[in-house]
Amino acid sequence: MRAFAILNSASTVESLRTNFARLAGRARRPDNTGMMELHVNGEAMALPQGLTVAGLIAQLELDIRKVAVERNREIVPRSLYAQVPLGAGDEIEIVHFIGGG
Amino acid sequence: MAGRSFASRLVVGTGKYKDLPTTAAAIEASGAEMVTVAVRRVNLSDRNAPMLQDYVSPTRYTYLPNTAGCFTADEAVRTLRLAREAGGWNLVKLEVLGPAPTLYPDMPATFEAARALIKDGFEVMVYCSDDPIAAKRLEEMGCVAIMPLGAPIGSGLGVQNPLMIQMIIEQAKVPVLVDAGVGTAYDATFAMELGCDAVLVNSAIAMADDPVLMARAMKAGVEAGRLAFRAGRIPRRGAASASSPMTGLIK
Repeated sequence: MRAFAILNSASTVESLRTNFARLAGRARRPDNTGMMELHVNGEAMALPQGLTVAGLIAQLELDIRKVAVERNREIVPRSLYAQVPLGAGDEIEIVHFIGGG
Repeated sequence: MAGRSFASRLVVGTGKYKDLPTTAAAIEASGAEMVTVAVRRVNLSDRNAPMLQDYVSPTRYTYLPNTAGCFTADEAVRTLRLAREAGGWNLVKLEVLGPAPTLYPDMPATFEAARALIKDGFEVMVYCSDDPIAAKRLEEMGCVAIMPLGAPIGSGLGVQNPLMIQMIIEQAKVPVLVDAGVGTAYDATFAMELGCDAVLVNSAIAMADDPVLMARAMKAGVEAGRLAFRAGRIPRRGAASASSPMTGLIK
């Protein structure tokens, strides 16, 4: 249900949609709908196949200068965001700085 | 330290404040030039939430990313690699803690993480136990600053083991910062009088009734302690010594 809420809140992306059956059962398999499922910060999302890291950050409306991205536990250098495509089943982490001691 | 100079000997944390404007005002009042920050997931369900960087400018303050919340060396290294990518900073605060209620530094894991981070090109300021042998070993490994705890994190108990802190200071060739345990301004003064190079304070400012006022107090406390250390205090003695001459009295 979380994925649905997230996708609905991404107002700029009408092509985004989710399919709960796929999310539940076949997370890693590419399909012919043009969508793929992956996890961003632990939350399931359905995203267009071929989307790059840069595309994801743009869709999430994040400031590229204030975040860092890991794809399947590998850091993605900022200079490569536009070239690194996401894949079905990817585990993406997007972090930033918050208050701490 | 690590090729950089700082005029302020007070390093402040940015955690536990009630909001970001208070964080910014207290840090400004503290006069600190270096602030610790944590690395966390972006909240995807509230992406327009204000960000620390909008209030505490990373160009004005030296960000010192920490590894708070990491309980293994692997997690610490992973977190700081992300921090380096997010901000480009090599100077980091390593802390690997044991479980509550002590949150005491886990020294075997700290050694392991320090080794991996130094190998990876980080300049490591390391939170550690008040153990002179461990402190020396961390320095020999290449840590750029040694940060023994004065008392458990957030306890506000002040420096509980001044003798050990002093031994660490006397043997160290890199800066020593007392990190954790400061409760109020005189705790910071006391730590500075022992001869440490700086004090790191978070909870004592952030959780004070008036964080901005306490930030000013800490600034003054650190300055007073440093001046007193440099001035050289009188020895403690077991008997009184009159302040006024006992000669030339009227008859």
